[in-house]
Amino acid sequence: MAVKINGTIVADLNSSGDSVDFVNITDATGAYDNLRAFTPNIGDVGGPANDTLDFNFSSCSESMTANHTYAESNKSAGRVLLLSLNRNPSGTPYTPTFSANIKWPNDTEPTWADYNNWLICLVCWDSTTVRATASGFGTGTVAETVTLSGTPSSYNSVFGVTSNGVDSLAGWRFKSDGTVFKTNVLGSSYSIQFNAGTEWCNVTPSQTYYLRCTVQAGSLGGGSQPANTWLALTTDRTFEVLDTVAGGSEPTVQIKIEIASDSGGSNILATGYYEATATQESQ
Amino acid sequence: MAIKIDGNVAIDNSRVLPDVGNMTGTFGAFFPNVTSLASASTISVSIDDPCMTLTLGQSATLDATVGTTGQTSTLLLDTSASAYTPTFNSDFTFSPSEPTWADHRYWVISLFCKGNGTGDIVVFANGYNA
Repeated sequence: MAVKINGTIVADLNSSGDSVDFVNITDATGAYDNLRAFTPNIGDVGGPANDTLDFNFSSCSESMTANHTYAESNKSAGRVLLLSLNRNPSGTPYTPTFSANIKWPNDTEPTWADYNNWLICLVCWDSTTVRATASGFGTGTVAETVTLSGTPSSYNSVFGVTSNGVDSLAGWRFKSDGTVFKTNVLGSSYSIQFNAGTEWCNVTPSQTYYLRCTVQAGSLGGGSQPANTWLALTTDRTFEVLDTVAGGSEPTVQIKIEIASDSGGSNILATGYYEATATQESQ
Repeated sequence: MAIKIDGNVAIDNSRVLPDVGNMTGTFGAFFPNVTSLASASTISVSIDDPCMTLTLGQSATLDATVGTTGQTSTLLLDTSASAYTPTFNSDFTFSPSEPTWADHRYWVISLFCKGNGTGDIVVFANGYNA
């Protein structure tokens, strides 16, 4: 049986019949313990297509399954909505768009791509304007970029030096995981990463890129890949020189490396210049 | 007719819960009452009020009434087009530091009471231009 005050229900069994709902309360003073906001997923409020921030709630969560533009409802001064936003629940990050009613500190909306998870505090200033703050958590979405370095007047250089009787190797290896390695000073192995985190791809490549090597001076040797052809970067590509003669000439090669997004090289994303010199000393 | 428990009013005739000893559960559409503070040279902020609005008509000093640990409140402050300056007295401690009020017109100020001593109202302020 519901409890009424002057004919208005103020307490009633909830729909499950296992707890009491206080309704139509005009004010409350006192203390609380485990009193928490009902926190719906935004999509649960009005169905999966619902994209409204409902200020009848104090807390809500959103796991984005598409880019969304959010409207607001039930705004009134002093109402606060805490939004827990996951942009990337399925491995594909989505972008939220908030209305012009939402104001951000310093007039600067956060860069949502910086983080996948956000805690957004929205405070109604009045029935129109909402002032918000946002804190980002976890990893973000780093834009994939392809970068090479060096110029025709300033090659990236590597030297390999060995003693008499030991073959000397010098070269560059463009790996399928997006990294570039060069040979060590002992001219024996590709153990030194070059410009880690930037060259040639700042993240693990999400697509197949293609590399072309053009010799500018000298000759490729050792186990070099062929020049003047577009090679899929699905496997490591190595360009090197090898000195097998002690005290003889020191082979040097200068190469131009280009990386394209297509196998025909019509969309070249980056160009770089690299040089390798191998020396087998005679003593 | 009000509802009483052991002589104490639980729900009065205006549907107010006047003296809740404790409350547990979940809540849905449950909002703070908004108290409009009048502009004056000295303004008292009560953290018993869960939400306050204040538009400054002059520069003012703000002080606070003693609260209870755990109480929170929000102050929506408009320094006006004249950019009046609020001066919060030693009742308040800003985290990490008091902002430069002239930087923005609109401020959402969160107040957290961590005790009943001087400086025990911890303040976080976010400024907005629009």
